[in-house]
Amino acid sequence: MNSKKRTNGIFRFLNLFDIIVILVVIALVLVLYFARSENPATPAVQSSTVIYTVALTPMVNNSAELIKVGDELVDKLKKYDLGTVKDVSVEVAKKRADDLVNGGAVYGEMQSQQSAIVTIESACTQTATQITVGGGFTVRVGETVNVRGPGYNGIGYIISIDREDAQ
Amino acid sequence: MKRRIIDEKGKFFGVISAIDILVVLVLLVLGAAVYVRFFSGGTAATAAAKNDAFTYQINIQEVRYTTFESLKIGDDVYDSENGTWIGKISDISCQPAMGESPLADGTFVYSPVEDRYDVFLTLSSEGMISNGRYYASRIYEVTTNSKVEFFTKYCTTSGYVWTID
Repeated sequence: MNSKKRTNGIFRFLNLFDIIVILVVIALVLVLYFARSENPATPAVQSSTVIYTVALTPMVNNSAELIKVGDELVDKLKKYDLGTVKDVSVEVAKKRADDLVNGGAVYGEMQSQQSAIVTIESACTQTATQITVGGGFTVRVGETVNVRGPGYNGIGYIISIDREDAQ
Repeated sequence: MKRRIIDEKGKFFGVISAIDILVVLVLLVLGAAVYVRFFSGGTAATAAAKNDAFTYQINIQEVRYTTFESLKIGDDVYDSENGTWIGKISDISCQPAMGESPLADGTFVYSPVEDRYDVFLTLSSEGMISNGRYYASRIYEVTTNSKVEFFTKYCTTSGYVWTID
């Protein structure tokens, strides 16, 4: 007499142990998914707007005068969209120099070069630790920027950010 | 009848194979890892160890006033090299910058720097104090006279560790 049991459907391919393993794996995936969505350590990303100011200096041959409100600026190297010019002012460029007579350091004016102080508004994403514009450029005071606008280029630093929590 | 430990199909006592045992072990390890990571309040290391608290000061030299304005009490501070949390700003002050300037006769004089400021940050940190050494987040060693490149959400700059309390 043949004692071999007949099996139908899915049980022809999976034994009880396989089914238990599959159920445990599914349970683990679900636990991971819900734990991640509830865990405060997971960075929460918010979309908002940031206004920041860059000092582009030095700029030669009056090229700072080409910067206009409404210009779209991009990062020269990685092509990130940096935002739209909201305000711009041009002043004589200054450079640190030592006062060899009296001591101390001064920022002397260089009459042939300019600095452009450009305020930029951009859509951004924010986490607890950073503000990112254009999909990849992190905006922080002190960060170097290499800006390309319509017909001009400028290198400088971010010198201020409008903080949401500023009083 | 004597039962064989491993039968002709490679199963232990005819019930479970070596592969099945391996799968069970992997699942157990995975389950333990998920529990430790998400439900035990931190990593196994931090759960087992109590953090030491300490404060230290960083002197940021010759920066614009707007840099000072971008730093606020309560900001979290991270090491720029690897993103390690190194403290939270608990106090901040600034004063007109001073520096060593050369004179025409080859000497130096400690004198003011126009239009720039020196900023003093006090950071409250947690980590480990061991044999007189201070480790923020238990891995970043804080030493006086070392230059720290760091960032907050709003600012990136550098300064020297001035004192450790």
